Amino acid sequence: MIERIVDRDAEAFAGLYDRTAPYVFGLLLRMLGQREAAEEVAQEVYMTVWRNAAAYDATRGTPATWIGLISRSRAVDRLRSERSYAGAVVRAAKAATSAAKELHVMPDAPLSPAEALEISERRRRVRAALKELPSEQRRLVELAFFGGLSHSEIARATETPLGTVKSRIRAGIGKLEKILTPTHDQRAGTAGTGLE
Amino acid sequence: MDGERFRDLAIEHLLQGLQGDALREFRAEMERRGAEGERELARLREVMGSLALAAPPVDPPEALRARLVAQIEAEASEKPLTAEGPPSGGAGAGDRDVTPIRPEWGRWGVAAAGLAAALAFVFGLGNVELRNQAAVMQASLDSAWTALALAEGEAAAAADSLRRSLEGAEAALGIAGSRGASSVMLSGTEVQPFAWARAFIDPVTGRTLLLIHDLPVLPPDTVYQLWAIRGDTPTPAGTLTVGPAGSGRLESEDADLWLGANVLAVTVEPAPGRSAPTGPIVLAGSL
Repeated sequence: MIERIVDRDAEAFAGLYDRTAPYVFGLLLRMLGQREAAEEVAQEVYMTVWRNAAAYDATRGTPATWIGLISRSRAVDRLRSERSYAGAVVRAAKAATSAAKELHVMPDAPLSPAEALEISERRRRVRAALKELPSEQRRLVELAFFGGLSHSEIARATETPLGTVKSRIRAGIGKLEKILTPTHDQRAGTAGTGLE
Repeated sequence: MDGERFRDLAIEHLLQGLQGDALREFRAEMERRGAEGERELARLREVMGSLALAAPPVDPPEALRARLVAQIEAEASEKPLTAEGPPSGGAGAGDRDVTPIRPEWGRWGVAAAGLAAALAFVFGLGNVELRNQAAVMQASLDSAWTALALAEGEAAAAADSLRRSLEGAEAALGIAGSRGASSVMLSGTEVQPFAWARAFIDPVTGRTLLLIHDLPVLPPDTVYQLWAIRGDTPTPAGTLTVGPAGSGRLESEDADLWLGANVLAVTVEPAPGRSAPTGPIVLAGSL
């Protein structure tokens, strides 16, 4: 599909958009929190895919990975351009930390049948892998990935020593890598977003 | 450099967190490690890319697809593609010339662009192959009609949003004027870092108003649910949804609900709400 986009096949592009847009938009919405901003950034993401399809290197990851990282990258650019962002995240992280001590939440509620039908096998594996992480590792990985915070910013926001932040994120990513590795080995058969 | 240090730097690099000396150190180490370093980086990149799938999928607006298709069909008839910018999700992938369409005037901009394309065609200003031009024009017009319909819808939504805001402000004013009334700020958690809310509580009458902002519209089978928390015990305090602008309000009159409560929190729950929280916290604040 990427090769056809390199050849400027608009139909192939539309097909790729239809298969990936809900994932890209969902990611952007989670990171940016506003539909208008997510829509703007999604437009940037897909124009990057269209214009830079020739730069895609299959040896460096799957198309879904490529598009996912472009999406995150654009969202982080947007977040960092908003001056109040760091302060807002710090406040939110502190509020969440104190609230979590008070409220016993079960965030890992089972998926609904409708959702289970919609989501890909790969997405289920990622979510399952995240759930297997100790809560502190998962929280820091999510702050880094979805919050777009640097290790230092996370350390300040969570009032955790920088070394601890680094070691927990490293350990979390390492565990995710181990859990997800079989999927990568079976790349050709990845259900994923149907891009492969 | 040991393995742990390299992985820390590689992870931060992929998360766009490396700058200055650390970035130079990482690049030098990558050069030293050669193919082995590239393989390690590729593995980490795959994990990071997979994380992007962890967010719940959400259907984007139809207008986005229409805009993109119109734009790429226009470009498809121009020069062939060449690789530019770094591949595989690094920072700065060479698309800085993409001009985002601002929501406040974007619809009208698309409509104007569609009209311009149509006029250019009608008056013979196009100098490319006729069939391609017709296809581009049709896509532009389709996009323009979609944009116009959306603009009309957005105007109605904006009026509705303003009406809700005024009603909320009026109700808040009613509570704020009471003796002993207090307000509580709720901040978005990492799930919704930009969300915020304010609760106004009249402890005498128990009248409470919660105004929430910048939360996404939920699927029909889910709601936002407010909890009054005493110590370790959360008590359900009502459910609400948000409009297209991301705002919503909840009013209640239950004086007992707030006795001894020290934390307010909002979670996402299956409709019509639960007796105990099961979903992620999106807002929290201390009384």
